[in-house]
Amino acid sequence: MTALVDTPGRTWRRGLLCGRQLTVMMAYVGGLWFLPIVVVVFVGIGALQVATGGWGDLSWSSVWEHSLQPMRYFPLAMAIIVGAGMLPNYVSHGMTRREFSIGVGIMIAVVSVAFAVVGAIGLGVEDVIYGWFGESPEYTVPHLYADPGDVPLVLAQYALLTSAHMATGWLIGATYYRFGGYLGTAMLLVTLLPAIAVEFVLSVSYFGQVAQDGFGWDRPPLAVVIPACLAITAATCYGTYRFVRRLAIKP
Amino acid sequence: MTLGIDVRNLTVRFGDVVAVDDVSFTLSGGKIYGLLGRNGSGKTTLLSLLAAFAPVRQGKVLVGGAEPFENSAVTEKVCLIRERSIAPDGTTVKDILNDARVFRPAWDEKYADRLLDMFQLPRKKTVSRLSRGQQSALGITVGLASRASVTIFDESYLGLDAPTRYDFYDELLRDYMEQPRTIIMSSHLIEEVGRLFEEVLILDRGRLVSHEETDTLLTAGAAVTGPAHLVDEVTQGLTVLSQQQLGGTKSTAVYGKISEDAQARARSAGLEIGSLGLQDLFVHLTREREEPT
Repeated sequence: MTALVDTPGRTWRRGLLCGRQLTVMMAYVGGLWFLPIVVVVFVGIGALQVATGGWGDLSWSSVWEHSLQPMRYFPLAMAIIVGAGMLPNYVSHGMTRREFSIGVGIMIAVVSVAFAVVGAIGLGVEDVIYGWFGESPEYTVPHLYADPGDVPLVLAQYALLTSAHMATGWLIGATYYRFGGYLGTAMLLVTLLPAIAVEFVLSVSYFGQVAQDGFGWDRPPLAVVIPACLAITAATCYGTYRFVRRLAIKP
Repeated sequence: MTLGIDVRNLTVRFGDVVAVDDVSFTLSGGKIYGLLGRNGSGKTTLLSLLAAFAPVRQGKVLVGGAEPFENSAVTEKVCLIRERSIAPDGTTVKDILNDARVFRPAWDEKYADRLLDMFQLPRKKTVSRLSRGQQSALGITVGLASRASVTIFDESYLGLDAPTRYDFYDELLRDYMEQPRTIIMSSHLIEEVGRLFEEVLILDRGRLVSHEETDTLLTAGAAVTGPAHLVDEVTQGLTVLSQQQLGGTKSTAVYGKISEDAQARARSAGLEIGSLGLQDLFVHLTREREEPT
């Protein structure tokens, strides 16, 4: 018999440590670099729109609603780096793939909620600023919410999209690490599917506009949409864990 | 804390290539082991399995009596440092050390700081912008300061210049005396690093061809020098590794044990019998042999 036996408690404790490290890294890159840039850019566009009295039919349209684009594609890119680069790094520090996967799951959850909070605050601030001019933001693409006051739905929309894209990014990163650049790129046809599926089911923003206006897609009730999106994201994370759990670290 | 290592009938194949071929050995632990082998002999593959970088598919690897793969009770105590850093782009020296501090339970922060100063490593620089020597020094810093029960250096110090390599050897010995643990070093710089090894394992084309205590291994061969006809007489029947002759004086390196009697007679006849270097033995044991047709 040996004392060197892994236990669920140890796995979760070290998984939490891993999640903390990954989240701190995301907070550093996202919080200190990405989000300030997003805020500055969108405030600038908003200021320009106010200064010029709006652009034609789009006068007083919401600027911040478009923040949904960078706020899901940046986490997607970061998750690709995590999937391809951080796994070998952490395994070399003695982490198991299972602990790493728990850590990634924690990072996805925390970052998604954090980005959702930032998204909700942005919509609220925009609503207040527009209010100073006696206007309300007009939303030009579909959303789960009708106005910024629907805070739970605002949070749900941002969090579901960000988490789905991060889970997809992790999967993409893992396949790039395992199969290399050419095959990894070819596999994007498959590995991007979780994000596309959530976009389709959620049917918001540009994607939702195309789905609804172009293909006549009717979004199912939220009681179906939200669990379905969560299920797709969770299945993607679990599938990626199954994929990496016996992955060899390259020389 | 030191951990022993048991490898039983380990075989690793990459397609048609057999990288490790039915290798078995036991390391009792608490020593400095040298793992020698030519390029492609399977050293890195073997070490990767000890550190759970890859799963074992045929055979068995036990570290401290337990399988290391996906067992963090083991992996947190095993630290494999490779020649090249695998940190993603943008990672700084500070990031690497921070991760090691969090994940390595026996991490010694003060010692890491001292090593950083010794190697003059810039903490804020990204790893990808470090010179090869600095990357080696960073690996060594992580390897030593992790104070892992099993610490493995896989040619990870080759990027250092000669003076820094000697500093590293001295530091390794000093720290090993203070904090005994199992250390495995693979290297091509055999003459340089051989003095550190207490036991030596030699891999050749995936097979373990020798596993001996260094002192025992060094008695497996001899260099006989003196009058040519006497040297030939003494070395008759032994495997000749190399010969040099100048006038009537000859020096022959042989593999094989010269009996005590023969040694006494040779010395009385004026022959010098010295030990062979580890490198000579390594070259002999791993020399390409012609395949029988």
